[in-house]
Amino acid sequence: MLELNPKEVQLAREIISQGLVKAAESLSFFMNETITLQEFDQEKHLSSPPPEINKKDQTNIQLLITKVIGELNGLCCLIFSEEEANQLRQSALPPEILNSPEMMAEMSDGILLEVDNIISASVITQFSNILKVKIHGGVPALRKVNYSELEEFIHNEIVMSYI
Amino acid sequence: MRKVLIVDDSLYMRTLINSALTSTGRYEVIGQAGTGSQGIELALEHEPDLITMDNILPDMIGIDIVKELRAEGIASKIIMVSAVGQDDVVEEGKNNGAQDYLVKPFTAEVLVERVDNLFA
Repeated sequence: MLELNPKEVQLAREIISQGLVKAAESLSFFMNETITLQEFDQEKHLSSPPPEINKKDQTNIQLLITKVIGELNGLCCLIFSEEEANQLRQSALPPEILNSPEMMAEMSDGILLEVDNIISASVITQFSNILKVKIHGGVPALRKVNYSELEEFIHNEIVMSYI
Repeated sequence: MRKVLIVDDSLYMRTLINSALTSTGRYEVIGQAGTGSQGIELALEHEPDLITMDNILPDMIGIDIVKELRAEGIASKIIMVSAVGQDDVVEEGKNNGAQDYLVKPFTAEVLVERVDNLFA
């Protein structure tokens, strides 16, 4: 596990906060409402599924994954419950798409992928500019998982890989 | 009417850009590409007035596509339309043949304004 001194931890928190502010701005654009941030807590937010997804029988959780590529490696993840994903679709897609079953079938996942693309990129861009490193996000991927699969993903891909 | 080629792997973005530009009555989308290689093929075939170019495609980087098109003598105006917004990447895009670089997200109005400015 990477050990940081208190000053480095504080600096990391500030950089992450700046990135998350950008993420909130991007999500606000799609949701047409102000998005606020919770204070980042590494132990709470990186070691288990979000507390908002609190039902262990939840299925169809939308897990969006973008790899960070370049001079630094990493992973950006967006996690939406099925209900949250539907809210996002309703806010972000124009009426002509929402009212067309054929177009919704094509766009339903596509809008989530594009939202992830933009939000991840806004965070990665912030890190890149602050840290002066060449990094960018890869092509996003969408996985639809249940609660157990989400727990397993977080444990294997985040806790074991980066913490 | 100006002819436009859209290169973006996101169906949502291709639909958004298509709708924004065609609704003005000044632009006609003559092709849409979801990969870089498809984008190059359509650009060489149609030589559009304008290409909107994503930067991260499944098979290629948008800036590399721009370089290749310029090397082939394609004179289309190119606006890069990408979520990648690092200062050095924006500069690199413009230094290698793109006339403008628009960072996502953006409204349809902003896109149309930036495209109109290319032909002003």
